[in-house]
Amino acid sequence: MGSRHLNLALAAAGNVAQNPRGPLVAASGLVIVLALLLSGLAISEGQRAESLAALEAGPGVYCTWDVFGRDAAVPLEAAERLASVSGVQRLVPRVVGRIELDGRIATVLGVPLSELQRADVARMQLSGAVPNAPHEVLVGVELARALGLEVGSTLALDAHLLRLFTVSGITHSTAPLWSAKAIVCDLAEAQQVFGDVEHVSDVCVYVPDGSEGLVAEAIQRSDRRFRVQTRDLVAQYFVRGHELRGGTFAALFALALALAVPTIATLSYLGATPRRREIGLLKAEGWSTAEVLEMVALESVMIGLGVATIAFALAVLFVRVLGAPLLAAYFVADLGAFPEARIPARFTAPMLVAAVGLGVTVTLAGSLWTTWRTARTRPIEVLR
Amino acid sequence: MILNGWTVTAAFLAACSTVLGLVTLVALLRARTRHPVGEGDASSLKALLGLLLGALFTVRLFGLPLHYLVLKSYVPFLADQGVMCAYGVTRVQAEWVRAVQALGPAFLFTAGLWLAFAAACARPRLALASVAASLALASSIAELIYLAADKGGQAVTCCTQFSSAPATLERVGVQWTASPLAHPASFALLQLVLLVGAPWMGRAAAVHRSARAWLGPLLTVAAAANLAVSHAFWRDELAPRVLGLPYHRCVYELLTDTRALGLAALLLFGATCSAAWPPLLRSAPEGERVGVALYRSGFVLHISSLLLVAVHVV
Amino acid sequence: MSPAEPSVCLTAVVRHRGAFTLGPLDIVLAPGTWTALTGPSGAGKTTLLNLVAGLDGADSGHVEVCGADLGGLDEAGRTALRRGSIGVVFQERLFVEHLTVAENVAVRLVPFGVPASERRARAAIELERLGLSGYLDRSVPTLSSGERQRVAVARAGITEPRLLLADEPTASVDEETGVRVLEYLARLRDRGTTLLVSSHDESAREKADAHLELVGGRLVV
Repeated sequence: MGSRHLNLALAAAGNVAQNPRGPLVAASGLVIVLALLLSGLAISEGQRAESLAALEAGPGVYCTWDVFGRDAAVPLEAAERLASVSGVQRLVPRVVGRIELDGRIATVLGVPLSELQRADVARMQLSGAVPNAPHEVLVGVELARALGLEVGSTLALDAHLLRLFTVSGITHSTAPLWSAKAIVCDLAEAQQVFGDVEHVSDVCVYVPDGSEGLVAEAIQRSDRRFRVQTRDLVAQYFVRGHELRGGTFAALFALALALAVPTIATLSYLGATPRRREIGLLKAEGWSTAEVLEMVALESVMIGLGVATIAFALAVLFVRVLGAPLLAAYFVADLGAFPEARIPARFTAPMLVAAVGLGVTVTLAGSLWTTWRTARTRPIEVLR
Repeated sequence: MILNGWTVTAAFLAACSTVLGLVTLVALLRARTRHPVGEGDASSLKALLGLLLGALFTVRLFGLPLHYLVLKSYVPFLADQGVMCAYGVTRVQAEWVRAVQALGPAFLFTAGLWLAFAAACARPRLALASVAASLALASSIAELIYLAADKGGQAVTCCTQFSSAPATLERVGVQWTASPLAHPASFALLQLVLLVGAPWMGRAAAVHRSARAWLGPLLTVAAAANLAVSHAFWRDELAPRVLGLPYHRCVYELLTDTRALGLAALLLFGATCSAAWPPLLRSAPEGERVGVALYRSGFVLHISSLLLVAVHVV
Repeated sequence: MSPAEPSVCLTAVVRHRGAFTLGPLDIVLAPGTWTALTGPSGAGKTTLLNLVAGLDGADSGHVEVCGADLGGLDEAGRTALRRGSIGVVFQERLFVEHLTVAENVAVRLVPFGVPASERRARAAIELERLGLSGYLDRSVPTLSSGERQRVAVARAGITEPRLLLADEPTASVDEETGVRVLEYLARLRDRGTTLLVSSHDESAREKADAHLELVGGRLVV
């Protein structure tokens, strides 16, 4: 019994390998759809992982200011008062702004120079060095390439006040994505560039692990104008946002996969006629309907497995090698159509399982009717 | 509804199996109402049912691990309702989760039994096929309802105390003990019974017919008991050890975070089915032959599952 | 089926195909005999062979082959009978085009669970008997008409069936090839296979133990 099933499986594999034209047409469309779906899911997963890792390494509490119910810049003197709240270990005020450079929008991140040395920035791969003096800046790889900057170049930032800086370092393409279009500099310099030395964008508050909630509450009680978010809350919003975007993306592609089922059914039906002569002959030679059915069904499963594997490999190639052009921009804000920076992506085993499940399901469902109809071919119909 | 990539994937597979389940039931209804299934139609109908149930089996098999990945992916969305892990997620819309987790494996068991009968006798078992198709339809619909259901507004309290140090446990006065089912001795005894019994039954000539009559059902009972014992053992002993999180119902995390153990769980389920089916096939003409093959394959699945567990324990 | 029972027994068999009617026919083929079937084109020879092979059903009458009543068998039953007992050389030389010669010859061994190596070995034996050694891995579309003919005969004979039906097995082949094919069939007959061979070839008729002539769907006595 086992040998018979093995023979049928090997016959199915031989049929697919030696006669690929038929399944190739039907499968190629499915491969592309599945590859794009997997690419999107991988980018979504990678972004989420990278964001969570950055959050994990960051402060336990984030503070902004409430003006008319919306996030606003924090007055510097209010930020300094946070140091007196119980549980606060360290405060890092930041300026996070946008500036136009040669028609491009860049993010300017200003933090105290002392923080630059201890932060994740210091552990990034980069050419040159982290800024060590007020007039030095670290520039993201994508921005540097766009502006033709190198280590040692002079960069002029002019939002409200023109300031000249020296590029001390350029991030590597493998650095976190947020840095690709960023300019990192000293806090005071950033304030000067934007012409506002009285405010900061937000304050990162470092607290002992496990006490984020308590400190957040204490800060809120100290001044109701603070808008306080714990790390966990920010993480939840990050994840929900990523997941929702990934889900919407996947839903659109699920629609495409659903349409692939009748497409495969139609193509299978059109390709069935030459197959019927072969099946008629097999049945004339003593193959039963069940055996023919098993062989043809196994062919569909093998095609589905092949589709899933190729789609997975293509997705990896598309994202890791080509940088997911046009697609990455859907998931990452402010990213160009053809990004230079490394796109965060995670290809996991569950994703492969999902790909195989989808590939096999679509090919099986699509070819079900033709499989049944072909297997029921009466030999006399093809022998006349 | 929580919309993410896993929800969409699981919903797609559930929708496909809903359609397949409906097609199977319609085919069965037509077979029953059009004309009695005589000899002339038996083989054709059996082939058609084999195709449909085989397709359903394949799709629902992929749906099983996807269900757990969906649960895991919902944790961040339900965190503000008190959910800390995938087990906590199962306590939101709990009745639908239970339905999916009961009906899915029940369908796989029933469909697998039908396929075993198909190998063991010429006539298709229409009643069994109807049950299998109904279970597939029910589990798919339950899954779709669960995925689409609103999961907000239901607060969940933590089910166990989480502690990484015995001193903390002492301080909060929490006593936790594993259930007796989870005792390593129970687990080891059942594995011994199955690892000896199944290959012995798999040697067709080695066991006398009269002995088969009681040994087969004994193995079935042992396999079913093994499922319960393994679940308790994995939850109370294996999960804390592998995940390094004592006193936490982390079986779901075990399945999704340590992929090999997710595979081991699937292999264990397959081994249980392989031990449970043979006594049910005794009425079929080729039942004994198919039963011997099932015992052999069940042994392979069982030992593979145990090896994967052993690798993680050691 | 006991040795004394006929291999094939047709009783008052009739088959209508459009305006043409085959029968009524009463035919008995003894086991281990070679019966030649002759007649002009359109006489119904192929229809008769299809009826005996269980590929077609009679409209009336009784067809018994190798002890089995074909009228009482469904499609699956007739397929099983062909699988176990009947080999057919079809008038149309049908092959699975993407399989090699050896794979085509051994195609009916696949559902028996015969391993690939054994199938190849058995195909090699049959092909050698028909003068096609070295053709194992050739693709069928590259073969000449005569070579395709011999591959079809090898495929029918590989299981040494109890009954072999051949429709023009020596058509469009040269004399030497024709002799080889007839010797192959004779060897099968000597080993107990019952043969019903439709052929215009005089040498095929000479080898036969019995002769049936069909004209206009009726047997000519």
